[in-house]
Amino acid sequence: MIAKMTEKSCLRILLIEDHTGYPDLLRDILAEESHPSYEIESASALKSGLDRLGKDPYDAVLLDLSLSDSQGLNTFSAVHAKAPFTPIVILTGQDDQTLALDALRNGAQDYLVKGKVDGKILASVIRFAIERKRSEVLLRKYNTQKEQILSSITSILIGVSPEGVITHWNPMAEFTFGIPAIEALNRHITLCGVSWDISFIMGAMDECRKKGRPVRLDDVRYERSDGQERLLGFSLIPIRGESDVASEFLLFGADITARKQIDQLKSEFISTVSHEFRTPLAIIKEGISQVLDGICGEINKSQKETLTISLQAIDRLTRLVDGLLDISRIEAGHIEFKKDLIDIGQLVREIHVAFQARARNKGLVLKSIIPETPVSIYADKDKIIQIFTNLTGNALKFTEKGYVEIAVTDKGETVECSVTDTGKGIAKEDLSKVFDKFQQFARAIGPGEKGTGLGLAICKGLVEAHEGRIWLESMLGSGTRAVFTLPKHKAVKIFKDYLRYQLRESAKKDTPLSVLAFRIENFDLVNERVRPDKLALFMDLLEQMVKKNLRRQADKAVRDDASIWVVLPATQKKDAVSVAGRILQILNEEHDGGSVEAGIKVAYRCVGFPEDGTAESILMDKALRSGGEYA
Amino acid sequence: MPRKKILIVDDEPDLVHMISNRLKASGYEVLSALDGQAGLELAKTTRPDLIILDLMLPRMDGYKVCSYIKKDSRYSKIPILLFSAKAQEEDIKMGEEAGADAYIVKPFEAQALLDKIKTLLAE
Repeated sequence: MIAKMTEKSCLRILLIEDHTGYPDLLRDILAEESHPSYEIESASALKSGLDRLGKDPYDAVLLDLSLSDSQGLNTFSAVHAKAPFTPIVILTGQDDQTLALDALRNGAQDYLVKGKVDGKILASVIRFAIERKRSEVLLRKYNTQKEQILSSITSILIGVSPEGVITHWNPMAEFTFGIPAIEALNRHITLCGVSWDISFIMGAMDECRKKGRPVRLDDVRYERSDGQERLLGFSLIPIRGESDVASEFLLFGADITARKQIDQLKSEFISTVSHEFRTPLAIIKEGISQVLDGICGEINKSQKETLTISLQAIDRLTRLVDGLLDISRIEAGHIEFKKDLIDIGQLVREIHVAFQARARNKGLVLKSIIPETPVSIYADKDKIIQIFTNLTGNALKFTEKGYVEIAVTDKGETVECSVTDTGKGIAKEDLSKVFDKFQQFARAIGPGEKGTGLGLAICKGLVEAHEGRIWLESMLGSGTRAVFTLPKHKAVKIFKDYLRYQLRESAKKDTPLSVLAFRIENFDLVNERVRPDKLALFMDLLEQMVKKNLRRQADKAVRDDASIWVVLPATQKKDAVSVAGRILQILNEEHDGGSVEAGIKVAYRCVGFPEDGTAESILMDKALRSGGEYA
Repeated sequence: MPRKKILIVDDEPDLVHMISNRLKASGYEVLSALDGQAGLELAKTTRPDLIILDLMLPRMDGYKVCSYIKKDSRYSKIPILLFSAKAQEEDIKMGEEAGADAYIVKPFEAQALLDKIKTLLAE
C-alpha cells in the first residue's frame, strides 16, 4: 500500500544555475504561490550544487544543464547520481527535444525551457514532479522487494503467457534445468530447451484454462542436464489480469525425485518387512496350533489356555502386517482400483448376512436400511466391502447392548453409507484423531479380537481413493455413527481415469495400448422410437458380447446409455480392430434380436497408443469423439 | 485305499517340517524339496497326487515350476496349491495365469489348508 502523504507547507528547492540574476527572478515568479510556499537556494556551478545536495535534503532540484563546469546530459547524470531520490526538473535555455527526451528517459521529471514558464506552471510542475518521484521511488522499492522475494524462492517458478511464451524463469528454474533465464525467456514453452513431458504440461494448461483454477501436476518426468531422468511436482496456477480470462500461467513446483525415492523406499521397506514376517509367523502359528490340536501329544487345560492366548496374539500380529501393507500401498498410490458398476444395496445385504451370526452371539440386533430402487455406482467392490466390514466390525466390538444399523441413502449426486451403533461412543476431543494411524480410543477390555489401530486409517484411504468423504459422529455413552459418501461418477469419468492410469503404465513399460469405443450412433433417434427398456437390453447384449471377447482381467469395459468403452493394455491397434470386427460380426449374425428392424446403428472407433498420439488429452478426445466405422 | 502323496516345495525347512507334520497327522504321505529345480525333478519322478508350491524359491521360482508342470501333459493333471507370502492381487493373478489350481496365503489356518487339499484331491 502506498501511504497517503500530506504535502509540506514549505518546499525547499535547490536551483543549480550559473546566471546570477536567475535565482531572484525565480523567487519573484514563485512569490505569489503561498500554499505551499517556496524557499529557493541556489548554487552557481555543478560542484557547489553537489556539495549542497550532500549536506542538506531538498524537496526538488531545478537544474540548468549548461554550467561552467559541466554541460548537457552529464550535468543531469551527476546530480541524479548524487541525489537519486530527489526529483529533478530541468530548466534550461536550450529548446532541444532530443535532449529533453534523453533526460526524461534517464530519470528527469520534466524539461522546461526558460522564459516560457510563468509562476503557476512552474509551481505545479514542481509539485507534480515531487509527487511523481515519490510514487516512482515507492514503486521501485516494491518492485525490488518483489524481485528479491521471487528470486529467493527455493521452488521453481515459471511464468507462461496464454500463447505459451515464457515470461518468467527464476533462479531455481535456472538451477534445476541448467538453462539460464536469458535462453528460456521469450521462447515458447515447447522450445525452452527442457526435455520434459511437454504434452502432459500442455494438457494441464488446457484443463487449467477451462476450469479457471489451479491444477496439480504430479510426477512430470524430465531429463536433467546430466542425462538423469527425474521427477517434478507442479501446481499450474492461472493468473487473472484485468479481464476474467487467465492472462498468464504460473508453473510453481519443485524437483520431487528425492522425496519420491524416499516414499518408494519406505513402501518397499514396509512391503518387504511384511512379506518377511509371514513365513516365521506361519511357522509359529502352525507350531502352536499343532500342540493345541494335540498332534504332539496330550496337553492339559492350563497349557491350552496359555497357547490360545499366544495364538490370538499371532493373529493380531498378522492383521497388523496386513494392515501395514494396505496402508503403505494406499499411501504410495500403488493400489489399482477396479471400479465397476455395483449395486450398493445388494452389497449391504451381503454384509448383513456375513455379520448376522456375530451380532446374534453378542445379543445385538443388526439392522439394514436399503433404498427400494437399486443404487448403482462405479466403485471397487472389494474395497467397499473392506470399508463396510471394518466399520461394522468396529460397531459390533464396541457395543454391548442395543443395535447396529447399516444404512444406504441415495443423496442424488452422492450415495451416503453409514453404520450406527448404540455403543460406548467416542469423546469429542478424540473424534478428529480417529483416522490417524495407530490411534485407539476405545480398546475393548477382555477377550476377543484386539484392534490394530489401522482400520479407520485404511477406510479413509479407500474412501478418498473413491473421491468420497468419511467422518464419525459420536456422543459419549450413547453411540457412534460412522458415515462415508461415495460420488456417483459418470461412466465417461471412470473411463477417462482408467485410460489415464493405463496410458501412464504403458508409457512406463513402453508397451502399446488400444481403446475401443462402441456407440449407438443414432441414439437420440432410436431412443424416441424404440422402447427404452429394449434399448437397454440391446446395450446389455452388446456389453455381454464385448466382455466375452476380452481375454484378460486387465481388459476393462465401461458403459453408459449409448456407449461402451474398452481399454486394452498391451494390445496392438490392429489386434483391437480385429476384436471389434469379430464382436460386431457375432452381434449381427447370431444376436440380431431385432436391432436391425429397430434401426439401431452401432459404430466403433479404435484408438491406438502410441500411433494415434502420446498425449492423454489427444487420445482421450479421439476415443470420445462420435463417428467411426459402421457395422 | 492307498495314502495320497503330497509334495511340498518350500525353501524354509522349518515350515516344511511343520506342514509335513500336519499332513502326516491327517494321513497323507509327504515328500519335500527345498528349491524349485529339485521340486520339479521330484514331481516328475514321484508323480505326487498334489503339490504345495511356494512362489519365492531358489534356483527356479514357483511360477516357472508351476507352468512347466501344467504345460507337460504327463503331469498337468496334478493339482497345484500355491503357497505364498504375497497376498497381492497381481501375484494371485500371475499364479492363475501360470495354471495354479488354488492358492493359500501365509500365515494360514490349518483347517483351511486341509479343506483346500481335500477339495483338490476329490476333483
